Amino acid sequence: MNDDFLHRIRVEPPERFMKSLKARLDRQLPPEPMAPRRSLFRVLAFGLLFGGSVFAISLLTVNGLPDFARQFAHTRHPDSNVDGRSTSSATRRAANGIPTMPANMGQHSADVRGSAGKAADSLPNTGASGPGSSIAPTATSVTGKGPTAPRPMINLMAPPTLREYMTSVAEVSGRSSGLDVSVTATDSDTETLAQLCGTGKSTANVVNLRIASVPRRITRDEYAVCTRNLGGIAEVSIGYQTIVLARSRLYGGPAVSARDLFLALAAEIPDPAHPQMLISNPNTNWDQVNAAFNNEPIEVFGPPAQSMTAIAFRNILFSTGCNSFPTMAALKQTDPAGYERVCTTLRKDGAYAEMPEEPFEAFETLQTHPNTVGVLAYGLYQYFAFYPQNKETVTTIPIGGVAPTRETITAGTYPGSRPLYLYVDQFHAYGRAPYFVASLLENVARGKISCVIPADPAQIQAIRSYGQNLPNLKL
Amino acid sequence: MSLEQAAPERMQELAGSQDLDWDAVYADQAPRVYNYFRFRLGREADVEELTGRTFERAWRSRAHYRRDLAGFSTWLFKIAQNVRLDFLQSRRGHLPIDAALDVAMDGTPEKEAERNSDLARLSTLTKGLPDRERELIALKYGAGINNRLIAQLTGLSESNVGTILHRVVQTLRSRW
Repeated sequence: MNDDFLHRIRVEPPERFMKSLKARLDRQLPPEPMAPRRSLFRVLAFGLLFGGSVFAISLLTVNGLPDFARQFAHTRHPDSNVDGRSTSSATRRAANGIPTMPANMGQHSADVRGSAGKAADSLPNTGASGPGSSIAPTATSVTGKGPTAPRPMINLMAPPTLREYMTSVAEVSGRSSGLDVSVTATDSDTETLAQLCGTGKSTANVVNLRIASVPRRITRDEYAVCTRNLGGIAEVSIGYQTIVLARSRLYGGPAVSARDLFLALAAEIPDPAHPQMLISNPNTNWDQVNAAFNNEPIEVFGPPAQSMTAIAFRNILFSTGCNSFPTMAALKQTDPAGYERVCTTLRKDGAYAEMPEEPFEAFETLQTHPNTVGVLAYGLYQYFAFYPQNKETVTTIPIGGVAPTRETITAGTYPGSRPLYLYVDQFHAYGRAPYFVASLLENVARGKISCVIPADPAQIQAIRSYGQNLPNLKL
Repeated sequence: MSLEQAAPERMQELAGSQDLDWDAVYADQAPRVYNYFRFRLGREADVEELTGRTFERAWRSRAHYRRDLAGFSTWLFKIAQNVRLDFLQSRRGHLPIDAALDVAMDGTPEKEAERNSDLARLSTLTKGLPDRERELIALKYGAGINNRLIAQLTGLSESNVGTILHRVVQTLRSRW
């Protein structure tokens, strides 16, 4: 192969540059020594030791401390954890060993049960401050009965579909704000708002900044409950969770709908002959899904099942396609567990293959497998589409006839997107809400390849300018 | 002996030693990284900065380099690839990289001007190629590394690397 013309282009770097870079490298501090690698035996030994310790502590917690230990705990540390610093809010456990909310959320639980019964059943019984609890001193001090004032804390409520994402961004924001963050998992969007607004005005909780994160806007009825119970709430748009379908330009993309995606990728689908029955997905080619499509094999590459993009894909598009079948919509009422299984389970026979959410790999896969459809986070697509030559080889597929653009996403017409909102309890806000919320939005914007398109950057400046409190939402 | 022929031997020598001679590593790898960026960017501007960033990042964490997982060259060029992506991302909204083909030739000897002219021509010809193929050209002829290392860096098979390179070089040559 005559490639001399390419070899000739190489040059030696300028000597001045080589010397100055070398001098810069020599001035660097010595590299940190690498930690010694653990042998298998040491790892096993450590694991056994750790497991044994956990088991012993669990036994003590369940059965109660021995008398001598209890006496020691009371005399040696009367004020321990009085400001809550040494108790991780996310890992605090009740006497029965069940993960629970922070102790001062116990008051919330009681209030929720009192004024909004619908959320009460889902709240775990903390028991942390009850008589006979083995961690009673901690619980008492955190609820504000100790000699030191309780530490302010963010209590962020999130439904399962947002929990992981909100935890990751909120923890970073909490650290930069100097606040502890506790993320409370709820069962649904509705329950998230019920927990926020069902508490009522309680002066016992003024140290907690309470925020609900939901993937939709609050309804008028929910708003009415919130304003009645809390006096007011603030609304902040986080951005838009958006999924993009992409494919090589060589074949272009069929105009798919959410229903087509469900029929192509679900593990089980309603039997066309007997819609009440479920069958294993028999569709292997796109024309079996929709006669308007070409006779091409169904090959979809998408994010790993537990990633935020995959969760968003299942919730935004896959479930929508599933709900387009009346029998499935009915199943949601009669058998929620069955509905959950059918409407969120992707097939595992190879039609859907996982690929890492990494720009180079994702687009190389699409370029080298032109028949494949890629399920991508909007940010990941934008990251790669920055290069003109990539846009020439890969294109997006419209969903329901709508292409994913900023205009269609913000207008709410693109089916592969949904808005994310924060709602802030204004009664219990104590002056740091704007700072924390602005920090959280900044962290959302840093996720360059995530599926969340951040809200308008000017919004962050506006939030900071509010000073002590966010403005009340008016609907 | 051409650079490409010398490279594997040099790499073996470096990778086989218990304690790497970092001065030798620098002398051997810096020109490769420098030329890799020249080929990728298609111009001289920013090349020194990106080369500097790559080495500073590598030097800071060189204690974490694991010889049993990858050759030093593979590790270093992975860092270089990441540095380039970060750079492009940071320049987003500024000057489009591919549009910036201005070549700095102030006071350079005639020979260098000719080389830079070749670089600009290469940049124009590779502009329409997929990113992967431009990456292969930069690794092969800019960094001067062999197909096996390129395969490790790009995730392609070694034979696939050879096939793609052959096809691309034929295309470039016909248009040169």
